[in-house]
Amino acid sequence: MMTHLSTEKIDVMALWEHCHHVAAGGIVLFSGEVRNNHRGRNVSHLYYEAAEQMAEKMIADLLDEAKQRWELQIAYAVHRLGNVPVMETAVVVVTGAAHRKEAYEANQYIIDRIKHETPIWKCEYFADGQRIWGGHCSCHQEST
Amino acid sequence: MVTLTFYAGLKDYFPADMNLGEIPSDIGSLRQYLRGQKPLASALLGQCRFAVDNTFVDEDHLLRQGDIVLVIPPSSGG
Repeated sequence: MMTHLSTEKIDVMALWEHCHHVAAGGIVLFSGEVRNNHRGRNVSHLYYEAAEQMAEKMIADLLDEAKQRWELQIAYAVHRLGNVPVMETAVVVVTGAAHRKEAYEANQYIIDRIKHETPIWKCEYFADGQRIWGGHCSCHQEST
Repeated sequence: MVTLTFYAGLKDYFPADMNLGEIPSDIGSLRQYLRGQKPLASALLGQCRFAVDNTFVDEDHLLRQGDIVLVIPPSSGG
Protein backbone atom coordinates (compact mmCIF):
# COMPACT_ATOMS: atom_id res chain seq x y z
CA MET A 1 0.00 0.00 0.00
CA MET A 2 1.31 3.44 -0.91
CA THR A 3 1.25 6.13 1.77
CA HIS A 4 3.38 8.90 0.33
CA LEU A 5 2.75 8.19 -3.35
CA SER A 6 -0.62 8.40 -5.04
CA THR A 7 -1.93 7.57 -8.48
CA GLU A 8 -5.16 9.34 -7.55
CA LYS A 9 -5.80 13.09 -7.62
CA ILE A 10 -4.59 14.71 -4.39
CA ASP A 11 -7.45 16.37 -2.53
CA VAL A 12 -5.61 19.28 -0.90
CA MET A 13 -8.63 20.60 0.94
CA ALA A 14 -9.39 17.18 2.45
CA LEU A 15 -5.79 16.96 3.60
CA TRP A 16 -6.00 20.40 5.13
CA GLU A 17 -9.06 19.35 7.11
CA HIS A 18 -7.04 16.59 8.76
CA CYS A 19 -3.81 18.48 9.38
CA HIS A 20 -4.43 20.26 12.67
CA HIS A 21 -3.10 19.69 16.16
CA VAL A 22 -3.87 21.23 19.52
CA ALA A 23 -0.19 22.07 20.09
CA ALA A 24 0.51 23.41 16.59
CA GLY A 25 0.26 27.18 16.34
CA GLY A 26 1.70 27.34 12.84
CA ILE A 27 0.75 25.04 9.98
CA VAL A 28 2.29 25.33 6.51
CA LEU A 29 0.86 23.55 3.50
CA PHE A 30 2.90 23.59 0.30
CA SER A 31 1.21 22.45 -2.89
CA GLY A 32 3.46 21.98 -5.91
CA GLU A 33 1.20 22.37 -8.94
CA VAL A 34 1.61 21.78 -12.64
CA ARG A 35 2.01 25.00 -14.57
CA ASN A 36 1.26 25.46 -18.25
CA ASN A 37 4.70 26.54 -19.39
CA HIS A 38 8.37 25.75 -19.07
CA ARG A 39 11.04 28.03 -20.47
CA GLY A 40 8.66 29.56 -22.98
CA ARG A 41 7.10 26.28 -24.14
CA ASN A 42 3.47 25.35 -23.56
CA VAL A 43 3.11 22.34 -21.27
CA SER A 44 0.08 20.08 -21.71
CA HIS A 45 0.67 17.86 -18.65
CA LEU A 46 3.33 16.11 -16.58
CA TYR A 47 3.87 12.41 -16.02
CA TYR A 48 5.55 11.15 -12.84
CA GLU A 49 7.09 7.80 -12.03
CA ALA A 50 9.06 6.55 -9.04
CA ALA A 51 11.16 3.73 -7.72
CA GLU A 52 8.19 3.20 -5.48
CA GLN A 53 9.52 1.15 -2.57
CA MET A 54 12.57 3.35 -2.22
CA ALA A 55 10.62 6.58 -2.57
CA GLU A 56 8.06 5.52 0.03
CA LYS A 57 10.73 4.67 2.57
CA MET A 58 12.82 7.77 1.85
CA ILE A 59 9.86 10.10 2.29
CA ALA A 60 8.83 8.34 5.51
CA ASP A 61 12.38 8.58 6.87
CA LEU A 62 12.62 12.22 5.80
CA LEU A 63 9.40 13.09 7.63
CA ASP A 64 10.62 11.33 10.78
CA GLU A 65 13.91 13.22 10.59
CA ALA A 66 12.16 16.57 10.15
CA LYS A 67 9.74 15.80 12.95
CA GLN A 68 12.58 15.30 15.39
CA ARG A 69 14.75 18.15 14.12
CA TRP A 70 12.02 20.82 14.28
CA GLU A 71 9.86 19.19 16.97
CA LEU A 72 6.90 19.07 14.61
CA GLN A 73 3.42 18.00 15.61
CA ILE A 74 2.51 17.44 11.96
CA ALA A 75 4.69 16.19 9.11
CA TYR A 76 3.03 14.79 6.02
CA ALA A 77 3.88 14.52 2.34
CA VAL A 78 2.35 12.85 -0.68
CA HIS A 79 3.56 12.86 -4.28
CA ARG A 80 1.40 12.10 -7.29
CA LEU A 81 2.32 9.46 -9.87
CA GLY A 82 1.09 9.09 -13.45
CA ASN A 83 -0.39 11.85 -15.58
CA VAL A 84 -1.05 15.17 -13.83
CA PRO A 85 -2.90 17.91 -15.74
CA VAL A 86 -2.10 21.62 -15.53
CA MET A 87 -3.26 23.24 -12.28
CA GLU A 88 -3.47 19.93 -10.41
CA THR A 89 -1.30 19.17 -7.41
CA ALA A 90 1.83 17.09 -8.00
CA VAL A 91 3.12 17.14 -4.43
CA VAL A 92 1.92 18.31 -1.04
CA VAL A 93 3.93 18.86 2.12
CA VAL A 94 2.24 19.81 5.39
CA THR A 95 4.15 20.76 8.51
CA GLY A 96 2.85 21.91 11.83
CA ALA A 97 4.82 23.22 14.80
CA ALA A 98 4.31 25.32 17.86
CA HIS A 99 5.52 28.37 15.93
CA ARG A 100 5.61 29.38 12.27
CA LYS A 101 9.40 29.58 11.93
CA GLU A 102 9.86 25.84 12.50
CA ALA A 103 6.87 24.97 10.32
CA TYR A 104 8.21 27.04 7.38
CA GLU A 105 11.77 25.79 7.70
CA ALA A 106 10.79 22.17 7.99
CA ASN A 107 8.41 22.42 5.06
CA GLN A 108 11.07 23.87 2.76
CA TYR A 109 13.58 21.28 3.91
CA ILE A 110 11.19 18.42 3.15
CA ILE A 111 10.15 19.61 -0.31
CA ASP A 112 13.76 20.33 -1.28
CA ARG A 113 14.86 16.86 -0.22
CA ILE A 114 11.94 15.24 -2.04
CA LYS A 115 12.80 17.13 -5.23
CA HIS A 116 16.54 16.58 -5.08
CA GLU A 117 17.01 13.13 -3.57
CA THR A 118 13.91 10.97 -3.73
CA PRO A 119 13.79 8.65 -6.76
CA ILE A 120 10.82 10.31 -8.44
CA TRP A 121 10.95 11.63 -12.01
CA LYS A 122 8.83 13.90 -14.14
CA CYS A 123 8.34 13.80 -17.86
CA GLU A 124 7.10 17.05 -19.35
CA TYR A 125 4.65 16.73 -22.21
CA PHE A 126 4.42 19.81 -24.38
CA ALA A 127 1.54 21.12 -26.45
CA ASP A 128 3.50 20.42 -29.64
CA GLY A 129 3.57 16.71 -28.83
CA GLN A 130 7.21 16.52 -27.71
CA ARG A 131 8.24 15.20 -24.31
CA ILE A 132 11.32 15.60 -22.13
CA TRP A 133 12.29 13.65 -19.04
CA GLY A 134 13.33 15.99 -16.28
CA GLY A 135 17.02 15.80 -15.60
CA HIS A 136 18.35 17.82 -12.72
CA CYS A 137 15.91 19.77 -10.61
CA SER A 138 15.64 23.32 -11.94
CA CYS A 139 15.59 24.86 -8.44
CA HIS A 140 19.08 26.20 -8.92
CA GLN A 141 18.09 28.25 -11.95
CA GLU A 142 14.59 29.35 -11.05
CA SER A 143 11.94 29.25 -8.37
CA THR A 144 9.07 26.76 -8.58
CA MET B 1 22.23 -13.41 -13.29
CA VAL B 2 21.41 -9.91 -12.04
CA THR B 3 18.27 -7.99 -12.90
CA LEU B 4 18.51 -4.32 -13.83
CA THR B 5 15.60 -1.90 -13.59
CA PHE B 6 15.76 1.37 -15.50
CA TYR B 7 13.73 4.49 -14.89
CA ALA B 8 12.70 7.72 -16.57
CA GLY B 9 14.94 8.86 -19.45
CA LEU B 10 17.00 5.68 -19.30
CA LYS B 11 14.02 3.83 -20.73
CA ASP B 12 14.64 5.68 -23.99
CA TYR B 13 17.80 3.54 -24.23
CA PHE B 14 17.14 0.37 -22.22
CA PRO B 15 14.10 -1.82 -21.51
CA ALA B 16 12.40 -1.21 -18.16
CA ASP B 17 13.84 -4.51 -16.89
CA MET B 18 16.86 -6.36 -18.21
CA ASN B 19 18.63 -9.54 -17.10
CA LEU B 20 22.41 -9.83 -17.27
CA GLY B 21 23.76 -13.37 -17.39
CA GLU B 22 27.37 -12.32 -17.07
CA ILE B 23 27.67 -10.33 -13.86
CA PRO B 24 29.99 -7.28 -13.77
CA SER B 25 32.18 -7.39 -10.66
CA ASP B 26 30.94 -4.16 -9.13
CA ILE B 27 28.77 -1.10 -9.75
CA GLY B 28 31.63 0.77 -11.45
CA SER B 29 32.07 -2.08 -13.92
CA LEU B 30 28.32 -2.22 -14.49
CA ARG B 31 28.23 1.50 -15.24
CA GLN B 32 31.05 1.07 -17.78
CA TYR B 33 29.32 -1.93 -19.33
CA LEU B 34 26.08 0.02 -19.78
CA ARG B 35 27.94 3.00 -21.25
CA GLY B 36 29.51 0.63 -23.76
CA GLN B 37 26.13 -0.80 -24.66
CA LYS B 38 24.52 2.60 -25.24
CA PRO B 39 27.11 5.33 -25.87
CA LEU B 40 24.34 7.89 -26.42
CA ALA B 41 23.25 7.34 -22.80
CA SER B 42 26.77 7.72 -21.45
CA ALA B 43 26.32 11.22 -20.03
CA LEU B 44 23.07 10.28 -18.29
CA LEU B 45 24.57 7.04 -16.96
CA GLY B 46 27.41 9.12 -15.54
CA GLN B 47 24.89 11.03 -13.41
CA CYS B 48 22.99 7.97 -12.19
CA ARG B 49 22.99 6.45 -8.73
CA PHE B 50 22.62 2.71 -8.27
CA ALA B 51 20.64 0.82 -5.65
CA VAL B 52 20.76 -2.87 -4.72
CA ASP B 53 17.85 -4.30 -2.77
CA ASN B 54 16.37 -0.80 -2.59
CA THR B 55 19.44 0.69 -0.91
CA PHE B 56 21.85 3.13 -2.55
CA VAL B 57 25.30 1.62 -3.05
CA ASP B 58 28.74 2.98 -3.87
CA GLU B 59 30.80 2.47 -6.99
CA ASP B 60 32.85 -0.34 -5.41
CA HIS B 61 29.84 -2.33 -4.21
CA LEU B 62 30.30 -5.95 -5.30
CA LEU B 63 27.50 -7.52 -7.30
CA ARG B 64 26.21 -10.99 -6.50
CA GLN B 65 24.11 -13.59 -8.20
CA GLY B 66 20.42 -12.70 -7.93
CA ASP B 67 20.88 -9.02 -7.15
CA ILE B 68 18.19 -6.61 -8.28
CA VAL B 69 19.90 -3.39 -9.33
CA LEU B 70 18.01 -0.14 -9.79
CA VAL B 71 19.61 2.39 -12.13
CA ILE B 72 18.49 5.75 -10.82
CA PRO B 73 18.76 8.97 -12.87
CA PRO B 74 18.92 12.37 -11.13
CA SER B 75 15.69 13.01 -9.25
CA SER B 76 13.18 15.40 -10.77
CA GLY B 77 10.12 15.13 -8.58
CA GLY B 78 8.00 17.99 -7.37
